[in-house]
Amino acid sequence: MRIVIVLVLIAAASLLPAASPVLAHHAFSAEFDANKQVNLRGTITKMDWINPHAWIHMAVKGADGKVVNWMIELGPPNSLIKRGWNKASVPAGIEIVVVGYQAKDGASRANGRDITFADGRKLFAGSSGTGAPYEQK
Amino acid sequence: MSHRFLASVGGLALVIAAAVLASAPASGQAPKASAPAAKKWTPPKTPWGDPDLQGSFSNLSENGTPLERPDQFAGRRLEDIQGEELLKIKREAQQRTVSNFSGPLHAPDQWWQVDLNMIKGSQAWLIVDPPDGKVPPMTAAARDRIAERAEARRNLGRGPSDSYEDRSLYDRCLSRGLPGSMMPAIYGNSYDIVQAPGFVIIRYEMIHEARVIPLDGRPHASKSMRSFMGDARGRWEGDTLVVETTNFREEGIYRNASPATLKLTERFTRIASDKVKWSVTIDDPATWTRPWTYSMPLTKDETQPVLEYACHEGNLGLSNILSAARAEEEAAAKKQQR
Repeated sequence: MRIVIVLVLIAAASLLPAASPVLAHHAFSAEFDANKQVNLRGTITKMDWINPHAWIHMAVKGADGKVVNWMIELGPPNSLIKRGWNKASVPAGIEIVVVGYQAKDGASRANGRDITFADGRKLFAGSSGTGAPYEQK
Repeated sequence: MSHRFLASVGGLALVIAAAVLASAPASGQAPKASAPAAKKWTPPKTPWGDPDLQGSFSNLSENGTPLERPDQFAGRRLEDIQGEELLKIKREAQQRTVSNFSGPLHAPDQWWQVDLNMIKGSQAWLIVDPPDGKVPPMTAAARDRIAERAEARRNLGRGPSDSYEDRSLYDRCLSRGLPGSMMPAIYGNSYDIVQAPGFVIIRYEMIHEARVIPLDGRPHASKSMRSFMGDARGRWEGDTLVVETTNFREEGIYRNASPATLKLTERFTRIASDKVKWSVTIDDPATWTRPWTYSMPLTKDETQPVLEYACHEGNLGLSNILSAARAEEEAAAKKQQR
């Protein structure tokens, strides 16, 4: 927990001088745990193209064979479109690998950093300006 | 990396410029490709004769521009920071942001850097008045009022996430208020300006507001009628739309201003086929020792139209924040028991 606070403070300090009017809709650290990185391989069941953040729903088979439905938070639709996402790029039924950070409450929800398709292509998924760990290097 | 990136942004800028020029002749006023802003340019009119401000705009490129004049520019005027000098600070801000994202697990840069346009930012800071580029000092009465509010909040003994009511209006998908709704953020910077005889309507992607601004000279609503976005009245001064907004609520009010006395005066002037200059004067004698003004351009961007912002329906963030806070409390309680 202390690590998260320190990271958030660093992010806040680094953003301040250059970018005082910047606002992100929801702060990463209030929802997700920077220490709980997840690597999920699964099948897309649905894509919600909604503001303020889009969500991918995916079915992930665990080592025990049990299928768990995960929700992956992405950036807002207008940003995703500009980054190369479209309706055709994330159809239900295809396999993807998601790298992200799990919800603090332990639910099967994560803030997605990027997704990788079976052919190796990647799409960047995150919202910028949220204070997520990938913004704090 | 940065050269490749700058080259690609430059290419994108050319494509956008070409698209804007190609779409401009509808008004018969297409500017020449060279120095469109320097020449006298006559804005088009609506069929009923008002200056035509309509279109889809964005101010994404001004994201990251500081409100106040940075100390490195002390004694200098905003209009003098141009060309290479301006580009240098914008490039530094851009590179700072890009380097924040570097890491082995990242997607190709082109997937996300295309919408990071800090190098297209047109200003070194935002405040144009007072001339020192700083927010004027607060009045003593305002400082007392703010301290009292903070004290009252502390005395409630509530945490930041005890309930949805402890979160900001923004977290709760209620409003970004004013001038918050006009401020650039990292996303959601799409604005639609739509006109009808006697009205101007501004639609904001973030957060779902539509400001309906009457132009017929009607008086402001009763002081008892208050709202997050206030009560707006507009008029034309030449080619400039002047909008005065009062009747704000205390919740979400701009920078601790007084809802009883805050008056915002915005000016919208179309200065080129693809640009509207926007400014806001913040006047609240109960809070600041003098009025102050900041300004930035809105740039036409038909590639990023206002998308539906069904914020409440999509607001999983708020429930995630509250459930995260409960999980943290539970973990802290368990730790204490041990």
